[in-house]
Amino acid sequence: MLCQIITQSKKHLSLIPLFVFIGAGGTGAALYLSCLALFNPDVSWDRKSNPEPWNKLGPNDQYKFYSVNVDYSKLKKEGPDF
Amino acid sequence: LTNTNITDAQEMETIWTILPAVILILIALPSLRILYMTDEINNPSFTIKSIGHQWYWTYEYTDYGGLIFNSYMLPPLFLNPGDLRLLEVDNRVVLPIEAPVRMMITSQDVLHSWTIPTLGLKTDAVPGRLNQTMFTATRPGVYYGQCSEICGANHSFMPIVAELIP
Repeated sequence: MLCQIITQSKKHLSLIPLFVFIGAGGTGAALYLSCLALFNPDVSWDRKSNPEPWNKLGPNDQYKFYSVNVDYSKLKKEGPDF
Repeated sequence: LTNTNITDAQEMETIWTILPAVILILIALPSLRILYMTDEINNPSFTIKSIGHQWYWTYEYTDYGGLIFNSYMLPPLFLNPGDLRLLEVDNRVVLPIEAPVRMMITSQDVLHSWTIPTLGLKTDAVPGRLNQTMFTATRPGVYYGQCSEICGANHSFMPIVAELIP
């Protein structure tokens, strides 16, 4: 497949940006999927030693992929201490 | 398809591949940033818990004291003239306007969804999970919504009514 891409790109140079953008999109999707599979706390691979990783999230852990304004590691507790 | 005027225009093809791709990236990146920003909860004045049951809602106002009540749909026989069938409830959620209100939504049994379309709100009530949504209403009034996740026989008969007061 890669050979074909290279051969076609040599014949028609205008195909290069097309392959670049499609390759970037596909790589991005694959990387995001692997990120989710490996690091998302909702995923459990090892049911014996880490059965429920979602129960280990603390109040200062960031769950979302990208946080714009909120720094979760610096959040302070709002309610009173009991 | 063999006319030489329409084949082999490499420069044109390169431009009309790169330019739309760049334009789309320039649209997508701020848009994704804004999408993540809509998730943020910034200093709510008020937090209310909304718990879905089969087939009613429970609201808990625990910020200042402990007010907890159930909100059942009014059966058609109990409606007053002018009331909306299948939408009125016995106890409405009373909320202030012009104040950021945070809703914490969950369920006691099966999936439900707490919705008020006119306020742009729809959040699933998932048992064992606490979902959060925030809104700031600008106009007083009575806002209606209905459960939006199939939850059994009376799924269509568990409305949500928010009364927003100044």
